Amino acid sequence: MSDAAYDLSPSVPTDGVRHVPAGTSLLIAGPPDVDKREVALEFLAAGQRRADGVIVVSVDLGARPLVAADESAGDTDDQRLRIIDATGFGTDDDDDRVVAVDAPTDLAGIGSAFGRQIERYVTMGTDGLRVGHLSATAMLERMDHGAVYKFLRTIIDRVDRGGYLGVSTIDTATCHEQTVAMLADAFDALVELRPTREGPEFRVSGLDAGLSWTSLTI
Amino acid sequence: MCAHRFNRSIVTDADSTSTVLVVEDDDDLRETYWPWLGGDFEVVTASDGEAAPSAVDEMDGDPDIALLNRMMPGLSGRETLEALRERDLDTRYAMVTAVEPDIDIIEMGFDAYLTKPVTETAVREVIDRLQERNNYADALDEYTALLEKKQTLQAHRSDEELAESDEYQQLERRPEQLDEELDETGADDEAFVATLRGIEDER
Repeated sequence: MSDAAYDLSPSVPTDGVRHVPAGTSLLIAGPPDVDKREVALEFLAAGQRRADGVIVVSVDLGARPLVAADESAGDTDDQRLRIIDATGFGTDDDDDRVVAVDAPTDLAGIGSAFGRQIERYVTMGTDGLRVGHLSATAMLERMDHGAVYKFLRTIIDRVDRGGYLGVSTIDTATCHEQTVAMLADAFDALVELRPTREGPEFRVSGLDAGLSWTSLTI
Repeated sequence: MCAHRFNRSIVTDADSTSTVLVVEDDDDLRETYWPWLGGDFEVVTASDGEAAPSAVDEMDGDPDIALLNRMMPGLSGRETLEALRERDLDTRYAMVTAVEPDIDIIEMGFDAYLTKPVTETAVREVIDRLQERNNYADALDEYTALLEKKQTLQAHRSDEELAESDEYQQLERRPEQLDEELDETGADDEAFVATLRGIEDER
């Protein structure tokens, strides 16, 4: 795996923000009327269009619709996409890229599946690895925010050590402002989204460059 | 949704002697742990799995580390682990085994393993590693508790009040220190799943 910066995709106009250093984890936050998952998948798929591997830990969406959403984000249907389905509904799919975990609260199960997927990529020799966790909101519905913080922090520390890219999302309407701030503490940067009449805008804090409200075209 | 709970207390026992529980049916090996570890740790032993829970009861608090022999008459190491896990002890478990485990010991619930013949160096190495892991988990617990406290203060006080609050200023400094500590320790790959299990168990 290379230590090169990760390209978040051409939808991010500013270079200092578009290319983030290896080991960076981003929290994408916004109200329900902006599609945070779409933005997260865009950042993940941007890597697969190159030569990175992608692992998505999914709590709020089953593997099949997630694969569909991922492909519509421009990802290709190949072995470099791996899904850890943690919805707890199992998966009827015999897709060998999908590993199902008993429940969203089965943290050891998620971790162990995650470790095995990482090993595959090391064997495959992909350039980099992008890790999505969708979503922090769904996790907070099932666990108190202290446990969610610790879970995310442990994942993020791993992302940092491996030199990967980490992406998660949180809904700012469902979750208390303080909870969002607390979880954001574990991440390197916060990507805030807001709807406008002309389409979604975003701004970034925590990265060297920083970015004030800018329109986002996906 | 997004339930709020602020009931976690911080326990730090960095200064006290670490405790090790040994469950081993082989008399010679069991007795050997004393001279090896007795100087630095409080060691309690049990000669089979059935006796393990009462050995824990005799201890002052949960053992920090438990070494469980895999193959024992009566309860196996795995069954002993299950019995102890049911008690939600704040303990890291190592399996002592004659052959390299063919199964995923982490998934089974062990944090590490030791192969026989056991040497003093190997035991100490495993204990060190597991203790370091405890340090990471403790630092993570403490950091999280401080963050929660900070967020509570932020939610209930104005910026002016916060600027004047010594407690808040202290909280600002402490997490930074702990943050560095967490970055330095990190959970190694083997510890990753064990750390996550620890978070799961605490809930």
